[in-house]
Amino acid sequence: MQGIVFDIHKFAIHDGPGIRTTVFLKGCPLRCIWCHNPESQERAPEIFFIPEKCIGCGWCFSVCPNHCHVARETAHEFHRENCIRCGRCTERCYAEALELVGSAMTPEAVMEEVLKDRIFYETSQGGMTISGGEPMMQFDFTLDLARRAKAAGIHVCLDTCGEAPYEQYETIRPFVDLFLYDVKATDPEIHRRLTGVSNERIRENLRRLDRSGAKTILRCPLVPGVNDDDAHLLGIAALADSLENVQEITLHPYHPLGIDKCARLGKQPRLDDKNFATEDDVARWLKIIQAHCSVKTVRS
Amino acid sequence: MNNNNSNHDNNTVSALKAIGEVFAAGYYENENAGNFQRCVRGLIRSLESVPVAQYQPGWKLYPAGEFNLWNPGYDAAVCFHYAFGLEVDSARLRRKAAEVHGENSFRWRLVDQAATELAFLRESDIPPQFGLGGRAYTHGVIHYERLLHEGLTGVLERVERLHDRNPEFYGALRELLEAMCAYVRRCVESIRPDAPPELIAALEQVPLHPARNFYEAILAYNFFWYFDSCDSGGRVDAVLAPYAGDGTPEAEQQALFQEFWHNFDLNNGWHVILDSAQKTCIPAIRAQRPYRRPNSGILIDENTPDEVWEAIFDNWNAGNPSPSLYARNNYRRELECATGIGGDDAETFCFGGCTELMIQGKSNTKSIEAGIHLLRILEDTGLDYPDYETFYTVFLRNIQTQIDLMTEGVRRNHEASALYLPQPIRTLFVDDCIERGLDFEAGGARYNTSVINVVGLTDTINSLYAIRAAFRGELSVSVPGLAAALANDFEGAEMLRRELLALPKYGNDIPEVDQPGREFARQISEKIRKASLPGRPFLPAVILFITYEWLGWTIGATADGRRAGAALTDSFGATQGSDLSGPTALLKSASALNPAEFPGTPVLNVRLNRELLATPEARKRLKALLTSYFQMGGLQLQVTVANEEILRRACEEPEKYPELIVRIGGYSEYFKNLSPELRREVARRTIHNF
Ligand code: SF4
Ligand code: SF4
Ligand code: SF4
Repeated sequence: MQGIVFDIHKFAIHDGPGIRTTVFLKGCPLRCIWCHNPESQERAPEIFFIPEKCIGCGWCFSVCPNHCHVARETAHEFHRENCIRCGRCTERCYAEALELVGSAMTPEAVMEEVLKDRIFYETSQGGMTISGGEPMMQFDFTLDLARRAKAAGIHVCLDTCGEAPYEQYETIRPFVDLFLYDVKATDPEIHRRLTGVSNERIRENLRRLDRSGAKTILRCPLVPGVNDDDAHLLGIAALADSLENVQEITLHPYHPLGIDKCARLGKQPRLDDKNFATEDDVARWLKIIQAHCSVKTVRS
Repeated sequence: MNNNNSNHDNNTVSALKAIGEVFAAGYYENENAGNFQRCVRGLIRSLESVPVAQYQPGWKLYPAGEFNLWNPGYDAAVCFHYAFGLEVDSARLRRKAAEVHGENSFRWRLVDQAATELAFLRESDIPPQFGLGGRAYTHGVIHYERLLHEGLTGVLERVERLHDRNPEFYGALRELLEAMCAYVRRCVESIRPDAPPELIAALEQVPLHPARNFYEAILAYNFFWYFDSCDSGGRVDAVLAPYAGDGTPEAEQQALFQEFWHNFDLNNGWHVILDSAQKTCIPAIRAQRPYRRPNSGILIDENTPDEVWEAIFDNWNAGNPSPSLYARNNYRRELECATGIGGDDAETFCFGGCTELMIQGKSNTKSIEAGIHLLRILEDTGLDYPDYETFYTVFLRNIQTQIDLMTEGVRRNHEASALYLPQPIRTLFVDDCIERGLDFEAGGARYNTSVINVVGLTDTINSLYAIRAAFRGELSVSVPGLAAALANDFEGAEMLRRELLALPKYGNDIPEVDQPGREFARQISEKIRKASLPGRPFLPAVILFITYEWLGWTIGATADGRRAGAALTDSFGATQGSDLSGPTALLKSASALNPAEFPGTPVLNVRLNRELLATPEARKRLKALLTSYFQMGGLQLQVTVANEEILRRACEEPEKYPELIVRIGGYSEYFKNLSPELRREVARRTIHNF
C-alpha cells in the first residue's frame, strides 16, 4: 500500500495537544476559496515552480521527457499542460526553483519518520496528526497509519473537513483519539458557495461522531468579510453547545499565504485578499463566541 | 609609591617604579627569591599603590563599576592576571621606558632586560595552531563558600598555623593576606564620609570576617570576585542561599543580584551557574534581564519547579538568552566518568569562562587550554587515496599526530607555569593549596583538569558524509574532481557546490549522517581523553561561538559545500541553514552524537520562534522539547529567540536564513519562500504578535 504524502512536519504545535508530527496527505473533496494549502487539493503530485529562483543551469530542460521546460530568451517557461509529474526535473534543481509536491510513500516509511520523535510525544503528551488535504480521501492509507500509531502507543489526531461517508469515520474511530473537525460556514448554501459542497453531510457526520463518544476540537477558519458574520459566529457557538464531546473551539484567522503557493502551482487564487485578519477581528470573534457558549474557545 | 623598602630599590626596581610599573618593580625587588615570592612581592606592591575603589553613590555593593584591582586604568604593561598569572606587554614596557628614561639610556636597558625576561616567562609552550578559543588560559572559580564562612582573617589563621612547615611559602602568603586586609581597611576609611552607615558597618565585617547575613554575604562575594580579577562566579545563588534565610525579601535579593550582575557586565565577568533547587535562583534570574554578562546557566532536573521555568522563559521572552540550561544529573555523571571526581565535591561542579566544566573552589582547570582544528587536519589530509577507508584511516592518524603534538605543548606549558607563573591569589583561595603548601599552578589544587576544545566537529561530520559519497561514486563528480573543485573554491563549479549543499546534513535526524558522526565523535573524544597527563584529565569540549569567525578564515572550501574562508558551525550545532527539519530533529541529531563525549561542554544553541513563549500552553510544549534533550543525554542547551533583528535581516537577505520558519496559526512556511511583500508583512506581525 502507498499513499501520496506531501509533507511530514515535525514539531507541529497547532494540530492538537503537545508536540506532534503532522502527516499531510494529498487530495481534497472541497475547494475552499481561501484554501491555505492549495497544493493539497489535487490527489496527484504537483510541481512547485518559483521562476525567480531559477539560475538557468539547464538540468530540467535536458531531462524532461515531454519538454515542458523551455528557455525563451531570458525567461524560463514551464508548460504544465504536458507535465506527467514524474519528478525528474525536480530531482536536481539545486536552486530549489522546482519542487515536487507529493510523493508515494508506504505506511512503514511514514511511521519510521513519525516514530523518530516519539520521546517528544511522551514528554509533551503529543503524538501524530493526519491532515491534508482531506485524509479521508486516502481512507485505506489513513486507516493504516492510525492503526499503526495506536499499536505503537501514540496519540492520534485526525484533521478532517467532514466530507466522507460516515461508515469510514465509524471504522477509523477506535484508532483516533481526537478529531480536529472543520466548521467553515453555518448556512448550507453559503457553505456550498465557499467550499463547493453543502455542509449537510458534514454536520450529520459530526453529530453521529459526537453521539458515538468521539472527542473533537472544532477548527473554524474565519475570513474577514467572507464568513465572519454574526450569524456564523453564533452558529458555531450553538453547534458546540449542542454537542457532548467538543473539547475546544479553535479559531484560525485568515492569512493570505496560500496565494503565494497558488502562484507556484500556476493557479489563480480564488480569493485574492492579501490582508491578514486583524487583532480586532479576532477579539470580536472570540468575544461573541465566548459570550454564547460554554466550550473553551481559543485562537490558533 | 612606597618608599619604605628603599633598601630593595636596586636599579631595575627604581627604573620600573619611575615608569609606574609597580608590579614589575615588586617582582625585581629580590631577584634571588623564588618566583612565587617575587610574584607575591609584586602583588603586595600593586595593592599598596592601587587607589581605593570609588564608592558609587546609590550602590549597595562595593567595589562597584568598572574596576581592575590589579591594573587600575589599564596603565601597567606588566600586571597580575588570573588567566596566565602574568600579563606582559613588553613592547609597551620598552616604550614607556624610552619616554621617561630615554632610549638606550642605562635605565632603559635595565627595563629592556626585564621586558625580555618577563616576556619569556609569559611565553607559552603550546604551539599557536592549538590556540583555538584559548591557549593555556585558566579561568577559575575560587572557593567562595569557604571564603564567606571564614573571611580573609580565617584564611590568615590557616596560613599562620602552617607557617613553620615552610616559612618562605607561608610567610609570603601571610604578607599578601595582610596587604589585602590593609587594602580593605584603607577602602573603608576612605569611603566612610560618603557611604551609608549600613555599607560601612557591613564592610567592617566582610570580607575580613565571616558573613552573617545575606547582605554581608553578597558584599563579600562581590569583593572576593574583584580580588580574583572579575572572573567567574560559580554557584552564586547556592552559596548565598543559606544566608537568604535571614528574611531578606526577594525584591531586596533581586536588587543586590542586579548590582552584582551589573558589575559582571561592566568588568566582562564570566560564568555563573544558578541552581533551580534554590529559591534564591529566581531573584538571580530576574536580575539578569538587562545584562549581557554573566554568562549564566541554571542546573535543571526533573524537580525544577514551574516558577523557575517561568522566570527563565520570561528572560528569554524579553530577548535575553540567559540563563542557558544545564542537565544536573547528566553532568554529575559525565564529570565522574571523565575525571573520576565523585562524592560531595562532584556535587559542586560549576563552570568558568564561556562554559568550561570545573569544581567550585577546588580545581585548577585550564580552560580553554588548547584545541584541535579538525577541518585544518582534514584539509591537510587531502583526498588522494584509493578508497574511503584508507582516507579515513589516514585522517584519524593525522588527528592523533596533532593531539600528540598538542599534548606535548600542554605538558611543557604546565612545567613552565609551575616554575614561572605562580598564582598567589588562587593559591590562597582554592583548596588545597594552603594545606599542601603548593602554588595553585604547581599541584596545589585538589583537582587539575584541562579543557581541550574540538573545532569543526559537525562541519567535519558533514564533510565526511560528502567525501564518502564521492568515493562511492554517488556524486556527479569523481574524487579528484571534488578535490580540484575544493582547491579552486568551487570556481566554475557552483552546481557541484549546490549538489553538496543538498546532501543530507547533521541536524536533521538522519541516521546515515548521525551514526557515522557518533562513531567519529567517540574516536575523537577517546583520543583526547587518552592523551591526558598524569593527574590531569583532559576534558574534551565543543565550544565555538559564531563570533569565532576567524577560525574559518584560513580554511579552504570544504566538501559540505562551505566556501573558503567562511565561518565554521556554532559549537555542537548544525551548519547555518542546514537544519531544515525543526528543533526536534536538531535535538535528536545532537543526542545521536552523544554529548557526553564532550563534557567540557558541548554547547548547543537552539534558535526558536518567540511564539513558543507566548502562552502557558506553548511554554509547556517548550519545556517538554528542552527536557527531552536532557532525557536523551544532552548536557547543555542555550536558546535564542528569533528576534526583530534576525527577521529584519532575513527580510533583506532571505537566502541567508533558509532554515527560518514562520508560523502563522497552524501554518508554517520557510521564510525565504515567501514573496517579498509577504515577508515584510510576516516579519512585522511576528515581531509584534508573538
Ligand atoms: S478543506 Fe482544507 S485543503 Fe481542502 S480546500 Fe478547504 S482549505 Fe483547502
Ligand atoms: S533545474 Fe532548476 S535552476 Fe536549473 S534550469 Fe531548471 S529550474 Fe532553473
Ligand atoms: S515532472 Fe517530469 S514531465 Fe513534469 S516537467 Fe518535470 S520532468 Fe517534465
